[in-house]
Amino acid sequence: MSGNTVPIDRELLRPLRSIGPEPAPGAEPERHLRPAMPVAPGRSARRRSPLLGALTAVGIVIAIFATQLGLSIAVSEGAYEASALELEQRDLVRVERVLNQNVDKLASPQNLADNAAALGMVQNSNPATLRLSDNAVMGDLAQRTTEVQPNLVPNATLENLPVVDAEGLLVSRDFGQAAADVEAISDAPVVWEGNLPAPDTH
Amino acid sequence: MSRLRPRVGRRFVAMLLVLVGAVVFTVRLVDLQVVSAAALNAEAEGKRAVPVSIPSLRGDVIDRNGEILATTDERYDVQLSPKNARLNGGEFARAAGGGSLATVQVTAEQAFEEIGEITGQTGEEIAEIVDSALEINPKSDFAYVKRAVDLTTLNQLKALGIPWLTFDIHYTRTYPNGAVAGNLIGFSGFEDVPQAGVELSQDVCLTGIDGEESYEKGADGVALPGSAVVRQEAVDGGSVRLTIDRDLQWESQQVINEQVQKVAAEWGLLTIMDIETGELIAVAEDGSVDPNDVDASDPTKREARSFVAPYEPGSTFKVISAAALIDQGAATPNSLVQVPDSWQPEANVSFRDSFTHEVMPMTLTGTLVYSSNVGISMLGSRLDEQTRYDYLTAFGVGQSTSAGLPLEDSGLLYSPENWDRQTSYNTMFGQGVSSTVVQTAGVYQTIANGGLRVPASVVSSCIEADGTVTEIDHGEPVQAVSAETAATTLHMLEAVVQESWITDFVSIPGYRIAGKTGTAEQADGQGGYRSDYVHSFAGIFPVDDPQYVIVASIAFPKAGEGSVAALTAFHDAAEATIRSFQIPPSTGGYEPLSTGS
Repeated sequence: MSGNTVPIDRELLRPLRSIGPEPAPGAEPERHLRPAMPVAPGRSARRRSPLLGALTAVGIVIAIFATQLGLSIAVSEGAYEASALELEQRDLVRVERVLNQNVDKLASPQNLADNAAALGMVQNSNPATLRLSDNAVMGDLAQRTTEVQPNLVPNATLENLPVVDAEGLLVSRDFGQAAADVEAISDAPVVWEGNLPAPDTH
Repeated sequence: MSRLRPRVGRRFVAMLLVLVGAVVFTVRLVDLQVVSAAALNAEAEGKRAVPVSIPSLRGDVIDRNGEILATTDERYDVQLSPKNARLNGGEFARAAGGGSLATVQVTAEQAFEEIGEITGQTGEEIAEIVDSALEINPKSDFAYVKRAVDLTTLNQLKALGIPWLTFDIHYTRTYPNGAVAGNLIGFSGFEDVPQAGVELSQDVCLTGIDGEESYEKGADGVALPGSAVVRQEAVDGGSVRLTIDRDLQWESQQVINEQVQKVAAEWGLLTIMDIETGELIAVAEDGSVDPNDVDASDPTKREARSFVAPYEPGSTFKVISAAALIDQGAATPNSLVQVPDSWQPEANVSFRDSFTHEVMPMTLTGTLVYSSNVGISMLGSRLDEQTRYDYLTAFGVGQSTSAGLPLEDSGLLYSPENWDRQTSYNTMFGQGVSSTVVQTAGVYQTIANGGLRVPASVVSSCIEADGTVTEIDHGEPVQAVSAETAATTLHMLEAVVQESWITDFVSIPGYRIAGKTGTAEQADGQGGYRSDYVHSFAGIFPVDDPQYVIVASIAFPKAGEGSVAALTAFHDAAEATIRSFQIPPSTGGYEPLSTGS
């Protein structure tokens, strides 16, 4: 620190020194012959007390340090903020991923078919078309409609997800898995658990 | 001089000392800054920097329209430090909440209860995890509480603010459409090692490259913010695009499951192929695996049987004999033969038709319409064995497809030198030879595509993370028969639908359909044939502008008509295809061909 103050001190003195006549380019030899001249302005400067210069120097140093401290606090604050935002972004990406996957499974054909069936929709199995060039009706206008078949293709991701019925109520899904399970069970011998069933006799 | 000598000597010694000192420092400096700099840097970094692997994401499997069939789900492993959970009785301070700075002390047992309530375990179970880990290693710092919990559970657990409870990301595969195309996609086993289907065959495309980063940690082990340095970016795996249409695949699986259940069949297959491109739009099998829940499915039905389980196709292959005869100029659709219901062309060789009849005049068309084994053999034997073998090969029989699955069976086709006399005749009506349902679809695709067989495909391309698309090679197209032969054969196949008993089962108003039934005996694995059959129908529509081939097979029905089930499966799948792709109704009409009687 003290090393710093010395050159600064000199810097401060320089303007005082140059109070003397401005050296003209051609005047050097004569100036060499006037050794006493610089002393007089130097003395007048010393009379102003060195304390002011020293205080100014210390003040500047303190200001520099304060600025440095302030900057580094700001930088690390920024780093923590960036880190917090990164965490927030990660959490939001996770939420987005979950929502996307929910959309994917809700858009699965099994879910759509189950919901269509619950709403009582039927399928136009063989739609007729109108050809615009000659207004001809292509296909059969007496259309068959078919009931939506219960879903026979299992999808474990839809377990416990309800479907919406015609009244707009959430009802439990008659899950395709159940049908598959029943079929699987019918092939294999079943081990009875619990009490044997007894007929209700009166 | 003598007065100066000691001063010179002193100076000299001083200079020497300074020089020696300078040399020593220089050597040390060079050593530190140049020679051992790398090692020292590494050592220093090792003390504060922690390397972490950045896991790459496994790619998706998508259908032809980009719908996701398989994707990677992020789950979370819940871990705890058993040592810390028991430190000071596991007590820790938790903010009392309500905005105050006050804290409440929470005991380990209390924390176990709280964790258990969220993960569905009991407090005792978690205490047991802690104690058994400490029993093995008293300094144990790691044990799983529960693996692969979802985001909601993770957030609830984090809110508990338990210092010795930590979390790690755990990637798992998930299949939002369940068993739709489960037979093709395959599934993964323990630690997500792919075990079947596209997951296995396209593993190289789907697997990414893990990256690596390091961060600096403070004395308390917490990462210093902003200190993470990525050394190697993770490269996510590529997406695999299938030729499958998800919705049509589901409808096909519905159709085949329904028919298999209706007639209590052993199994059923249904394949839809695009005629122009050879792309498989749907490859449905009964009881396909739901890759989310592999254990729930029948172990014998987990693979893509359409590719790995060849069977004798039977009469659907009469079309190859007919096309060969026409292509060789050995017969026309109107070539007439007198057909008895059983025939013994040589000693020890005999076969019969599926129905009894008097000697019947039949044209080549008639042999297809009545599906007469005797009739097609009488005409087919006009060609020598090698020629017939060459045509079978040209139609893709006996050669494995390379559609993009890990395993694709070639079916069984012996070379003519190895045909016994019976087999020589049997191959003319699709017995003594086997093919997968995909190969059979390829035969009909060839007829419908002007005689040009385009290789079947199910995996179309690999789309890497940077967008580079790599098409999968499925082989070269083969001109099996001439375009005229193909057109004539297609006409005969339309006659089969129009002139025989199957019309009512397969007709769709407004659409012209061509096709052929097959009722095939199957080897029983003991050198003989089973007494029940595999019933098939292979159909092409619309005949005026052939776009799709559908092959349905229903095997060994125990209750009801297998052939009707196969026809119904074709019909329902064809209707679904027409709806899906909005195929306009046919123009023109069927020009009748003579069956001979």
